Amino acid sequence: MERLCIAMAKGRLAKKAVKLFRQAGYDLPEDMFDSRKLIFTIAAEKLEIIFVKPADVPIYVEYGTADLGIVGKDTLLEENRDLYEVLDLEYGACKFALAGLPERKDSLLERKVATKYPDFTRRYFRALGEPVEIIKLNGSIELAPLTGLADTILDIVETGRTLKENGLVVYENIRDLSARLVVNKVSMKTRQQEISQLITALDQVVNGAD
Amino acid sequence: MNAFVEGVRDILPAELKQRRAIYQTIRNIFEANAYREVITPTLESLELYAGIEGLVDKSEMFKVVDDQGQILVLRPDLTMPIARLAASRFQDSPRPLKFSYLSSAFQSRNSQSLSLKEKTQAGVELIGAASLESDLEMIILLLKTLQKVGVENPLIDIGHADLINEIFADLKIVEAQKVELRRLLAAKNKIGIKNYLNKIEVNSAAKKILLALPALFGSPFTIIDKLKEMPLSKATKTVLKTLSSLFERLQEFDLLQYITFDPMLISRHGYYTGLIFKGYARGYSNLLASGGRYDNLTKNFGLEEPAVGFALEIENLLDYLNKTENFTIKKEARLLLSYQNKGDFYFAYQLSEQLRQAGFTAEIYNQADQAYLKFQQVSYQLKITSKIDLLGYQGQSASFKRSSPVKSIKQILTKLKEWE
Repeated sequence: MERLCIAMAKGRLAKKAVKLFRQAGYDLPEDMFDSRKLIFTIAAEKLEIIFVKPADVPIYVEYGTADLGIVGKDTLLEENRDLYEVLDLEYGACKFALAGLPERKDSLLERKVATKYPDFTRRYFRALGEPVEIIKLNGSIELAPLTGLADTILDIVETGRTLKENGLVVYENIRDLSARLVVNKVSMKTRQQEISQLITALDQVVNGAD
Repeated sequence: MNAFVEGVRDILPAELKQRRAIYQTIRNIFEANAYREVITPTLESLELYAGIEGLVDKSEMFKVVDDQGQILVLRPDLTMPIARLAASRFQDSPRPLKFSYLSSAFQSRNSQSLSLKEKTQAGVELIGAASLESDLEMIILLLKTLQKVGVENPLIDIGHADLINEIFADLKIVEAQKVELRRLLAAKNKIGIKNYLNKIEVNSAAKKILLALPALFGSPFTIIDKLKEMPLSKATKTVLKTLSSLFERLQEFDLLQYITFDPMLISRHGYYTGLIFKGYARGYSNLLASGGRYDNLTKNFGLEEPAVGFALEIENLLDYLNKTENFTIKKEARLLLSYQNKGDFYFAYQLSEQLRQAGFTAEIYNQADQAYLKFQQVSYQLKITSKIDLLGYQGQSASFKRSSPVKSIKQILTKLKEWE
């Protein structure tokens, strides 16, 4: 049988994902993070693991290049792809939050929001019926209110330390986020047995046997 | 000038050849099963589509304005035009009506289909038949078609549009919550369902069922049995019974090994009313076909009648066949004739006609160089001088004396046969 391909988000989530797989009894190579290698074939487990940019995980899975993916809910909300989202892996916990300077300057009539998540931000404010101007940034979102580029930011907040150090406060927590296991909709049907086994194994690590 | 449009593409000869082979196979099967092909217009009225909920989002249709200011769309799907056709031109014809099609559909945003804005669909529609046998016929026809074009291990995932509605009714889910729950169930998003159920008021029995649904799919009879154990109403069990008898029939046809059942198979096309199914190939992660029953669709044209059909996604099918190399297309034998004396053009032409009749692709061209021969993948060259030289692409060569075209062609064909 062919190998199952799993796309993992590069970076700090990847280490936790690999750890999780090991806890679930999968024998993954020790040296996965020692080199810049992006693709690992684990013949004994019939697995192939690829490391891709977080935002690309849903794309690889939707197109079926990867059968499964591990990625943060923030990315899933932003990418909004047609996938099965089957398991909350419960690590990488953080929140989507609106934040800005302690003296809130924005008003309903005129609000500029800087974010790395323009699509989610658009949908969020549209659902509220609030008109906003969205400014897409690629990093250091905290700078936007400090420099006057935007009044508000919509970003992921883990401990709130970065915000605090930059003199910003959370206005509103939007929703909880964590790492998720996603599955290609067709693979789920055509390779049900192998994928179900994997889901069950990971589920047992995360939620305990039941 | 940027002449490139994203999401559309040219189809070049090599691919077209593959396509035509597939088209031919598909057309033969459809016609042999009495589904006669029709071609409906590329342009349809926006109103035809805009009024139907859940079909194609208005924003995803290509719109065109005609000289009267009327808004038209490039047809985003092929089922609607055929429903319109059946209800208008064939209003008084005896039922059932059987149509097939092979055309392009246009959508501005197209996930799950290689991101193409123009995609080719081949399908059938059976209008005016409500029986279990007609559902069965559709599934079998789809399986046979997939197998015939080269999908060795097809898989048909079956669901039923009424199932989720009946389950919602059983669980007393209020209208406002159905949209979100439907979306979460379609995504098998157990976490999302759990979170959502914490926000709304649902009794614990219902909670238990809703949380069990995402993991319920697979082997038909196993899933049916599991659903039967749940405290669901008689109406729901009736739907299950219908599906059960469909699966029994498929078993009788020895086709159950190709079938899976997903109670939460929810189609993007909101018009399906009963059976829903999707076609896959094991080892390929894209959709190859989808179909189902749409008993209410023709109502939009003033004629309410049952109907069922399916469409094959040709681009995905080609992608699959290329990946698995399940193509068996005979390489064409291409022959290039050239002559030295102007007066030999007619002789060359006579030979070329004879060769075409014998099944070769023949052209006359005197200036062919190596680059041309390679690019055109010419297999044989015929050089007409004071004699006739025949050259093969593997270095073979033969020489004939000039004589009458009839005699020459005999010699040439004999030699070519020898080389093959």
